[in-house]
Amino acid sequence: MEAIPLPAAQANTQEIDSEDVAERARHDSAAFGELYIACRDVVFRYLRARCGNESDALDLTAVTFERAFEAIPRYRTQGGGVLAWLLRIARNAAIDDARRQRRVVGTADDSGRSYAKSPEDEMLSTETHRLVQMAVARLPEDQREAVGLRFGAGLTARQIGLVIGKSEEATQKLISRAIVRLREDLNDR
Amino acid sequence: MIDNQVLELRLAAALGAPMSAQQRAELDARVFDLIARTRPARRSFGFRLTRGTALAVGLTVLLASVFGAWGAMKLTEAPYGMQDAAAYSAEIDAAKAVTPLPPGATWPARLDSSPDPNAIYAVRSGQSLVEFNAACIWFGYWLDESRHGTPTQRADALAGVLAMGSWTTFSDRSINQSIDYFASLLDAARRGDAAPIRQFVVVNCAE
Repeated sequence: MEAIPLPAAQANTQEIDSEDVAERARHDSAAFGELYIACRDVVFRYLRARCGNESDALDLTAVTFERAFEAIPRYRTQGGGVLAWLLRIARNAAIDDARRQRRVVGTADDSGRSYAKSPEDEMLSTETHRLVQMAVARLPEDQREAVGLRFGAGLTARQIGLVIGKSEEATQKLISRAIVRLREDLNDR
Repeated sequence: MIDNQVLELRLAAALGAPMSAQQRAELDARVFDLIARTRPARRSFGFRLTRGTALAVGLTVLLASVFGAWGAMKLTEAPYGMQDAAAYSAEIDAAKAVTPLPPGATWPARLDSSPDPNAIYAVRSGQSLVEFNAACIWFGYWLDESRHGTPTQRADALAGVLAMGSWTTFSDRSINQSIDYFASLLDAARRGDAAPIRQFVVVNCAE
């Protein structure tokens, strides 16, 4: 069983054994805190790419860890390990949210409404970043999800496949189609 | 025309940008509050804890013995010897007199309780009790000021936290083998990373 390695919370920290921390987190809230610290940024970046909205991504990241905290006592080692498990919870949370809001997630228009940011974020974000984010937001949902996991969460095609339930080959094709579409989109602008 | 390599670099830069410090603070507050609310039912300190949290848990166990047993610690090692209850009580009072607290903070009432007159206590365990209590107060103060304070208040809170590094309990390895863990918390405060400190407070300092 392949487990996606957890990112180090800081550059100088030891790599965390994902299944060890998950097993401990089943019974120990301090260990869950350790898991949260290791994974919060990855989950947030994935959700931000998927939702196309900073504040929704932040809220959904919190929801993800709230659901994970409830579910972790029942966690059993499975495909992709605990990070894939967390990302699947995040994905379901995003789908639920979109359904609840009766809208398609991330359908940003050129005004940038869906990428609403604080003034601070707006200053920090370059125009290039904004254009790329907008183009990602215009992708079909499955491609946007794969791109979010690839470039937001930093997973490989094989690891993404474990999260979304596709083969590595099918996932790679999905990413390739997204790249072609993004190139066309950005070259047209 | 942009090629695939350039596009992938732009995607990584645009989608991989970290969350802001403010976003991280909001998220940490929400998740750690949840953990704190449900902590009693989940809290468990088994023997399987390893690596980073082992230090935290080691300190927690020490704190639990300090707070829970009210200083009546049965130490297997007492590098500075033992003392009776009156000396222990005097040590607490002396430590309270010289250990600084944040503006407006007061010592918890448990520090005013009388120790068991029939027990003996490790020398400096009273001082450790005071300094651990003060560390909880300082870290809580730093967390509050980090989110809501003015730049001056944040700087003062950070200075107060960093000063703890010179306290006996957090610099003398013979009485506290978790000083490396504690030093990592001071490093976290220095770089503005609230998460490890919040985790420490949630696990160790909740009443």
